[in-house]
Amino acid sequence: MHRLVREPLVHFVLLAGLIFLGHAWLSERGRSAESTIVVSQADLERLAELYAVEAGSLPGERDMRGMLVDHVEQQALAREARKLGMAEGDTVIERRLAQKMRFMLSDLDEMEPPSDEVLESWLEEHEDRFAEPARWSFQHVFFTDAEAPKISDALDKLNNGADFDWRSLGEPFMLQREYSELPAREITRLFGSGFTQAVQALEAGDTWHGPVRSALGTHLVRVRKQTDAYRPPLEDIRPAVEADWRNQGQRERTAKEVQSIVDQYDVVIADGASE
Amino acid sequence: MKLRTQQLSILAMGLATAACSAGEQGGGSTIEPAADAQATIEEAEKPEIEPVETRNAYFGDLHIHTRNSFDAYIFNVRRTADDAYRFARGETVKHPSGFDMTIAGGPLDFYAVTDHAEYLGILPAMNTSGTELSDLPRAKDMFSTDPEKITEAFNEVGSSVRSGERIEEMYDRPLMKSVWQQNIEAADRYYEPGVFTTFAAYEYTSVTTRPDDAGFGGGNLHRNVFFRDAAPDRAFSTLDSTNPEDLWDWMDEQRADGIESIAIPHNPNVSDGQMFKLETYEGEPLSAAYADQRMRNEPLVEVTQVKGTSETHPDLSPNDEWADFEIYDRLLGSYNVSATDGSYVRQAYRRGLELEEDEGFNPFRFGMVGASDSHVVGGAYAEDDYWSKVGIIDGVPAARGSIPFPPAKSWDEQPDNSITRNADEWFSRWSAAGLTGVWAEANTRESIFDAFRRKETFATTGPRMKVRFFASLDFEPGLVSDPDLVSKAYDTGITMGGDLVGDGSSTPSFLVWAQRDANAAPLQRAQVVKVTAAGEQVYDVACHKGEPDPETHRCPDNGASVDLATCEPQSDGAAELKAMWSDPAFDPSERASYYVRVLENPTCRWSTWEALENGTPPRPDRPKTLQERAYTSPIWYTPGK
Repeated sequence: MHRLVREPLVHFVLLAGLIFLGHAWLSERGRSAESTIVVSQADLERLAELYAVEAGSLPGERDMRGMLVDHVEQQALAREARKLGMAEGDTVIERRLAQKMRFMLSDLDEMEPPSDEVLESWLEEHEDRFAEPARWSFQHVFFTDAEAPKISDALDKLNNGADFDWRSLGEPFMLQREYSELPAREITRLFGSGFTQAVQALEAGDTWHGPVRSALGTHLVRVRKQTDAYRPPLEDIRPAVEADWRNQGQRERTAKEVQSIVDQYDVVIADGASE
Repeated sequence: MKLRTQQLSILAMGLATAACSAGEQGGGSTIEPAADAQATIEEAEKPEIEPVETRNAYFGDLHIHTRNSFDAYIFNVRRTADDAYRFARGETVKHPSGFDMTIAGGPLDFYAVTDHAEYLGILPAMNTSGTELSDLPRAKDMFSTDPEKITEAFNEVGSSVRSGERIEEMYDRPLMKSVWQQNIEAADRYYEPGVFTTFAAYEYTSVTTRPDDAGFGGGNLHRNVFFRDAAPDRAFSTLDSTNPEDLWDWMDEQRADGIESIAIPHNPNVSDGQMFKLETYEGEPLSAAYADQRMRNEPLVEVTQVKGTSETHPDLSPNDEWADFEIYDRLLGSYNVSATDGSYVRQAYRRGLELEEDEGFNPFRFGMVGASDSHVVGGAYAEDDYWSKVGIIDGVPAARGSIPFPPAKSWDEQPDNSITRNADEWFSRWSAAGLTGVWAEANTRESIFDAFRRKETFATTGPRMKVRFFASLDFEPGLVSDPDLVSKAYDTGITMGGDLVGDGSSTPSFLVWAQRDANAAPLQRAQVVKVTAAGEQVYDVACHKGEPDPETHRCPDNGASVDLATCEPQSDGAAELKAMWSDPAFDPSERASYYVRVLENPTCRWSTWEALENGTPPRPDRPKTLQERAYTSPIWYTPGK
């Protein structure tokens, strides 16, 4: 992230920096190093970046000056507070330090762009996240009720009948009689899960099957095509795999790092504290 | 992570125009779109989209807020438009109160983020140290820990939204423009033609005033504005004008420049009688020009959402046994009760016909849609998985009054405090609703927007039941069981949202056809609601069991009930209801509008589900069960020459 922002911000930040340095040079002249607050180029960039990230636009000259004054005040006050030992035992500060440590651990991890091998094995390990779902293309003849003779006659006609339009059989269906390439989730959304399971069990081909019950009524079904779930090759989905590897993988690796640090400590829980 | 990536791209854009010279920096070109979950969507292959001539039912929510809305951010909503679209696609997103939200009934087909245009994205900036906005004293108050200061600072924002008087120090135009741009970009990023449709959209937040209401308390005249494809570079808000007619002028201007839009008013039920009053905003008489402009810009009205039903009110429809449904009548941010007259859709249809009869124009010839108005990026549509809509103040059952306020264990011990009072007046009366259904050829912006224009829409209170509705003077006999029913009905009839012109003598036939949501309760009855200048009548036209009585026009009782100890339904219902109906009181010389209302079997209300889960009795002063329903846009009958 820092890498992305730094370069284009340089010109802008330089300008803001000059305004501040003039001011700083006049007011801070002649102080010792210990009492000098140095505002680095990186600090300026960080302030501008923070502003831009939160406000959604670049800081103006006044914003920049305001942030610098705040920053200097904060530095000065923080140093004083530290001298007085105020950092010790403060929950907020401890939490913040722990968070920074955590960020540092995960930042370290981000240094290397992952190789193809790393991503390949990530893809393999987390197949379910990248799999294209199985899909069904099917036709159906619809009946509102389950009157057996009517339906078995229709089934007989569909499988053995002469040349005729299968769409002329059954009752009108409000939506479509033919669906292509629907994943199970979509079939369930339209017909309910019982129908999905029934369709999944059917052989694709020319044969009509049924009766199949759904939440909407009774159907005769012909599955024209079924494609299995598959895992796309890495080159087709590299950005998504890399993003997942970064997000999820980083979290997992950071957790491991944290654990290994915790493991370096002996933990003693006072009597009665376990209640 | 996502937020940062997104905003950095804005930063990059700013640099492209603000940086000294593109030639010497070179850095600009190193900014690449960072890899994130978006990649999957962009990379996905785009299948050929084949239009379905008989049209498909697509479901969506047209009313969603994110952190960029002032009244969402203040209640700890931190999620973005990207999160909103991810939620609609089926991903799980966190509620500000910390629990997971996953959409009921599977992914939606379309979704629109409609953040308030007023002070769009300003509150987040005020809460970000280092920004100029965060240095404002009002920012320090608004994000302090003192509830009084917070309320006061927030009410000032609400008052400004209502009065239209800008708080100049907060009115950061470039920032609002840039946040508007972010919302547009998020919509574009998630738009996947054929699979998932989004729109550039926002909410225009006009509110009427009563002297005793603070903040933005008052009557609701809000509108959501949707752009068909291109969107303008800024959003017209109440800080430009609080008069919705000025919004229409602006939309007309945009339209002249090729930017097509519609506005959808919501919550007429709490408009204090203003949404459908018989005069202009400024109190002038209505005119043909007003009606034209209103219909050109507002072909639809949101009739159901979390803040209640706007179809009709028991006082307006005393003979409609189903009129007392999820009625909510408190003005915005107020305990004051809204005026009923002028606040409901059915009455507006009637008044529109009256105007047409007397004056020759009708400003209320609109169709119906539903939405949630969720301010936590995700809508709660299911009674058994509800989270209300505001944020931390209604995020848990005790805060919305479905269970006694802890430590109370029974309703007799319920304490009286500001939380329980808000629950009494507001949250316990709110509703797990709603969705918009459209009949469109394909799931694309063009196709869905054009369906909005045609008013080929229906509203549901949450479930995804589907409703077809056609009328014709000459449907073939036997059409109702013709295998090509839908295409013949389109060929020889007109559908919801359309006009049927009479021939002076023929009686029209109406095809009413409803299909249950395969994943929700079955149906009990389908009804036609007829409205004329003289009155209204509700006809049951198709029943789960038996036929409607020709005298009472009511279905026999199908015996459906719910076991309140478990919320289990006690009987079955219809998967489909279908009828070819004609109006027994039809008068070929009388203007009329007809719309369909479909009722599910009763199910437990959200407050009952939450009580059950908590092991306490349901709140005594709210209904234990309800009948989810759908409303179609009307068909208007006009007598011929």
